[in-house]
Amino acid sequence: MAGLPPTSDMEALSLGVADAPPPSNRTIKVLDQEGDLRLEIGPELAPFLVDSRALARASPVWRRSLFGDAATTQRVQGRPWIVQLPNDNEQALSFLLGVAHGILPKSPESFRPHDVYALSVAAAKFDMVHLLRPWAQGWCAPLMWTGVTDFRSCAGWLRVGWELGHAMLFNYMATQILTHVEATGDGDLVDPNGKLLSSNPSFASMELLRTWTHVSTTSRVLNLSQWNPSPYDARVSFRICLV
Amino acid sequence: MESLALRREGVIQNMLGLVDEAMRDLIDENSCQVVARHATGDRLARAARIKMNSDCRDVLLGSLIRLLAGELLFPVPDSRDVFESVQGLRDRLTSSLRNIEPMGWSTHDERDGIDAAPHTQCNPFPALARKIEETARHAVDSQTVWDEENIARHMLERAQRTGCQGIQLRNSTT
Repeated sequence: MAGLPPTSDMEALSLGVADAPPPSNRTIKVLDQEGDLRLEIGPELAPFLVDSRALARASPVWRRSLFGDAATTQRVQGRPWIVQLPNDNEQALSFLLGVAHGILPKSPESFRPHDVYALSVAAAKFDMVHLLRPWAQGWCAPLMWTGVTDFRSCAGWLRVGWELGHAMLFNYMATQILTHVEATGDGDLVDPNGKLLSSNPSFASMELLRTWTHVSTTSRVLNLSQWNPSPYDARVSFRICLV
Repeated sequence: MESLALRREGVIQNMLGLVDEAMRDLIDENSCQVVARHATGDRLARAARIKMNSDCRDVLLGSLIRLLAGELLFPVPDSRDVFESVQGLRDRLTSSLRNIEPMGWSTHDERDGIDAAPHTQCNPFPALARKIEETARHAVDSQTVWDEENIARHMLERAQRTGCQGIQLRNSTT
């Protein structure tokens, strides 16, 4: 993240420490029998029993949030440790928490694009993208060949490419967006359905559009001699050579 | 957001610039030069041998103006006044140029000392359509390469963590 301002998701990250017993009636999902922390995730506050140290090891965001100065002052000794995350995606966090505890999911390679998007956003928010390493490349590559069905999908896959660092996916979707974006008489940019681009959360969180400038700087930024693109990245290689 | 808007306008300006250039050629120069600029191959060679007279230019210019007026693109507008997408404008322009029917398609007369030949021989518009497509494609590609160092750095950092294909930064120590 060096050189980049924090995303809006990162800025919004804060863990709510619950005072009262959880309102959820759902069965708790135990990721660690010896767990010391109960997470309640999503609008329904789905409960998870986790090991706080495992989360701290997996991500500096968790470490700061659970064991930083602010977090420790909020934690009350002798009472159940409960943290609520009502604004987060339950399925995505369930996946990430499981991997952080060494529990591998079933058939992650068959995840739908929508699942991949939610996972990418959640992993970036909690700084856990490295946990997706076994599957990230396999998820991203097919997104380019399934066809772009609508502009909203382009914005979503652009975000996935951005969060997971997939060069070709990011570049391809950026091209699609530049090709399809329209303008209004007021100078605002809209998608083909007339919806303002600035209202799209995928754009708002990336700082991408602000920095989408200065084409000529590319050649001095990139060190092509160190880069060995796979066949999938031939398109990216071609573009870089054009500059 | 402003950056994306400027890039979009730049691509559109490139496309409209080709149309404007073709029109100016038809006004100011021998239209064979338009053919030479936008077409290649045997057909061009034959067309280039035809010495255009003013009637020929008038036919082609009139046809182009009629086409542009029908598309509400005459006079050729500034890119800031075009609100549709790059793809929308490109498709509209190229489709029209490929289907253009120069007025009358009358033949050159024989006063130029060569065989009479129809204006289809010197029709530059299909080639102009191809040129617009190529220009749009290249302009979009060149505008969407990662430009800024912080974008490249972010992508590299993420790629190293996720194993996705990334890029290397010059003088990178990581």
